[in-house]
Amino acid sequence: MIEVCNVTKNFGKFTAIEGLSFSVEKGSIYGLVGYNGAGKTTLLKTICGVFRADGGKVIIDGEESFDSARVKSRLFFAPDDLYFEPYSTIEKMGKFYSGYYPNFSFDTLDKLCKVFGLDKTKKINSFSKGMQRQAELILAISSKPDYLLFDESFDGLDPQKRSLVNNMIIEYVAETDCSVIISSHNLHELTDICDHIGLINGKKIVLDCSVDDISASRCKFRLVFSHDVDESDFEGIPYKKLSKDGKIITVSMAGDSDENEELLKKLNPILIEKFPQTLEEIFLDEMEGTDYDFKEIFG
Amino acid sequence: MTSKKSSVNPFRFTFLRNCSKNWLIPLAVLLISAYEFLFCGGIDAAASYFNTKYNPMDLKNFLENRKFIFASDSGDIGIMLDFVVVVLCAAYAVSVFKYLMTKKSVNVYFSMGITRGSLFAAKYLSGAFMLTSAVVIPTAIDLIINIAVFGSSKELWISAAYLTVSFLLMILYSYSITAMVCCCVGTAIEAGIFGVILTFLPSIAESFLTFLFKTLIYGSPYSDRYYYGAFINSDARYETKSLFEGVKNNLMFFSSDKLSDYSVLSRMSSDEKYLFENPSVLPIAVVLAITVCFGILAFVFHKRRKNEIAGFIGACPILTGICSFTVSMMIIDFVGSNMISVQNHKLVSFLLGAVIILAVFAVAEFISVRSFKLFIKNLWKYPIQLAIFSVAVFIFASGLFGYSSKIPQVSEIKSVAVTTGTGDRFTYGDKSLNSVYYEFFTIDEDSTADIALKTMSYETPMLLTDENIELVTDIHKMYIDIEHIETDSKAKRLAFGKRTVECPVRIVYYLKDGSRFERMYNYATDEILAKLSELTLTEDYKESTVESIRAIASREDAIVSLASPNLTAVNSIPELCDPYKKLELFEAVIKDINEDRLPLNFNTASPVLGYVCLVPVDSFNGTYSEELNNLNNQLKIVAQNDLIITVPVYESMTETVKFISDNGCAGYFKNAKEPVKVEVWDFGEERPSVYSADLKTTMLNGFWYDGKTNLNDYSLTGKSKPLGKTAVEITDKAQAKKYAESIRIVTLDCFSGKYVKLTYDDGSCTYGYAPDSVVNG
Repeated sequence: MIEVCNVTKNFGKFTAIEGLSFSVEKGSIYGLVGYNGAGKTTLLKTICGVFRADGGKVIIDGEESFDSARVKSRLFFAPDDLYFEPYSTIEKMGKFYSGYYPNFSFDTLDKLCKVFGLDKTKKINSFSKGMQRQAELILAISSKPDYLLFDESFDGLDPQKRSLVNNMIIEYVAETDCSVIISSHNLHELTDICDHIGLINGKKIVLDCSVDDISASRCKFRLVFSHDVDESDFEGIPYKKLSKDGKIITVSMAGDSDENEELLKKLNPILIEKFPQTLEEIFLDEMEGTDYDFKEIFG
Repeated sequence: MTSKKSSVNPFRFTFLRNCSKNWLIPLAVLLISAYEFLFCGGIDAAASYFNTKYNPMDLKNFLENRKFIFASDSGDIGIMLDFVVVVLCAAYAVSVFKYLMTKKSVNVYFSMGITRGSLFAAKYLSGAFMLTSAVVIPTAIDLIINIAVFGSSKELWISAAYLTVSFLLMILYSYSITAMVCCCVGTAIEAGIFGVILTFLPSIAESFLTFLFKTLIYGSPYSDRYYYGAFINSDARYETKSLFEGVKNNLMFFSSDKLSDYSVLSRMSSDEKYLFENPSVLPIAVVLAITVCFGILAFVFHKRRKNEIAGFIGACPILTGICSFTVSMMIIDFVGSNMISVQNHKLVSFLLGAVIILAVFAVAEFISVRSFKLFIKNLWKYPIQLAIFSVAVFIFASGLFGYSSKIPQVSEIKSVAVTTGTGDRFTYGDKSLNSVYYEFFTIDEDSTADIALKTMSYETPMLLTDENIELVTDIHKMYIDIEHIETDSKAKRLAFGKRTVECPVRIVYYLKDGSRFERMYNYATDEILAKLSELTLTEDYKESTVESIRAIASREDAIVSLASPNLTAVNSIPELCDPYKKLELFEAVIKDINEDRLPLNFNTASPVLGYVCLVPVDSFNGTYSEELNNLNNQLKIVAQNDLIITVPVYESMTETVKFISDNGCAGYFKNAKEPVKVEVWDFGEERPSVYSADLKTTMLNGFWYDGKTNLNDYSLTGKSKPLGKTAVEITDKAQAKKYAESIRIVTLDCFSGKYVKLTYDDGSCTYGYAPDSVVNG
């Protein structure tokens, strides 16, 4: 289990993340989503011990992860900036990682190279960016870690390879009970694979729940009134977002949908309709008021 | 799924991997150390051995004369290679720790299953192991060869250990400093540059401090020392005493002289400097401690490293500041040392230093921030830096808290020594060998030349007798007064309305508490020179002189010549060249010296009867044999060393005079010619500028001119010298005779007395100096 407890990280006077807490259970795939510069990479680097937290701590299996050889020998961080030793091949990099990861499996490496169609004896610097990503993911899985951190690791993968990677990770997690954190600024990359989602909104986690719960706990109502209404008429109703189009009002609400519907009926609409909210809509609601680049997420 | 699990030991893996991946630079270090030790040591010894193998006598001599050859002096190439090795080791540290320099590698290395401490230790130790191997392998082979050729000896083992550890520490020092720098900065280029700069920081700082002492502190012993003499241009030969000799050549840290002294041990030599003594462990211990400290600091910095600085320039402002200041020191020292003779040199040095410091810091700052806006924002730092520099300069220029004006109390002084750098060599010129110089080590009047420098050895000042202590403190006070009256270097030469002589005077007090107090001045007024001439010489001086005389006199090939006072007769005396006669003659001279019968008073009225000269044959050039046959054989001698002795003979030197008379040689002191014309002019006129090296030469020398040659450089070739502006012909016969009989071929470097030209009927002439007191007395 990964526990991030009240972690703060500053770069000089700039605070990248502040008092941030969440946890990732065993066998869970946690999606960390946020816009560029929201602090995703900083958070992952702090979890894996590349950065030292200025406040708080990261505990993995009951032990602080920073500078713990025991913890980190079971944790693999696949960074956004790919690193391979000069003129190395997948095989050579495998040997490199095998010096630090006791469970490293060359059998797995061989098999995954075949699955992805990569030549393990070929120089990695001759690979395309997408192929290098695949190589890194293969090395990560071959290290057989108990904790996997992927930072924007699906960038540059074609849809077929992305699907392959998703399946590989899901299978690996199912088999090993590994905890995985995947960061991305692209929600589509996460919805297919993650069971939990954390939304980091510049320094803070603003949403942290399972994908199943999030859809169940949020819904959207469309109400039609015979008379003009405005926001003041909704006073006392805990809506997340309200939009008006003539006599048609759309509100999104968190919590039990039936109770919310009963509340809204008290306003005497001539029509009330209930819709489930998509993840995108939920995130948009949460990001309301920020300078978030929506096209970046949903484009 | 089957898997091949490895037994992981990250430390061992990192250590071995670094060894296998980073071997190119250690290989280069190995080649260089192999050259410095093996090829200039063991292989050299083996080659010599095999060359003599088939010649039993040569082999016997070889083995008898050498106890071992571990590393013979590789000279300038060796120093250059040492520099290369130091830079290579800095580069190697960067190579070992390059994973700290990019975000990509930092992400991987710091997220893997190895602690920061273990990662550093594995990397650092593997690098140190590779470098150690690169040094130990060739030195071990060197040792084995030496044992094979010469046999094992305690001295060999000690030398091998000392030299190996010295060399090893030199490279580990550079490696450790750069490793520490790597843990503090974000880019490889900074790590490399800062590492090299910090490696050389001790010698740069030492040189800079010496420069400050030299430039700003009056009386500093860490000044340029000029040696003046007949054949030494005043600007051409000088050296600066180092403030901290130990770090002056910090390429080696341990004096390279010592290295070479210990590297080739002569078995036969009785020369003290070749006698083996156990080398001092202290410098090794100090550098080892410093190296270990840097290693520990690197370890701590690595553990605490903020990896977010990877890839960013200027991430460590403290190191940037230290290195900027170090570079500033180096530039100021380099530029300033070449400008030291300019007028107002203190002011110039300050302005120069200020400009250089501001420029270097500005460049470093701009490179660090790479933003004009930030650069402007940080301009506030510059007045502070300038103020700090100004304070430092002020402290030095104002005499370093009384350092300039301090004189020890007489009661504190145990003994005192004075040396000066005025010439102790004198010249004759002659047409027939106009490119040949005649040099003599002259025992003469009590001049600064005599007090000073029998051998021009600055480092071994002659101790003076106790009665001189107060006299020396008086001289010291006179120097301090000059500084108080005139601080401008140009005006100082004219202090008290009198000219000063370019004359480096060093005063050394040995205090009762065991410490040493030293000051040095490059000028002397007439008054100071007069005071200096009051100093009496000691037994040390006599012993040293006697030793020199005996050393030459004992040589079978040393030729004895006698010269008349006006140099018109200079003859080699075959009968006195007999070894026993020669020794007898010089034992007589030695006896006179020991009995204080050689007048040491410059103004002695006692006339010079003639000169006794002793010259080793190998000091002659190829023309000597021919010249030896010349009936009027003159001293046509080539010498560039102190092995030629000319002793002026006075009436008071009874033993010498008696020997000359008893052997029927008194006639050789008789002048061959008497002058037909006597012209004199003020001696002071000869030296309108104390900086004139050419004039300096002539000032110190009388010479004889054959009247025929017409070469331009009269000071060296004997061309007729132009008369001085105040020259007058002495028509009064009695007065002319007095001048003719009073001339000396050596003078005190001063402004009194007359320059005398004696012209003979054949056009030849003698130039010499006649002291006022003698002529007027």
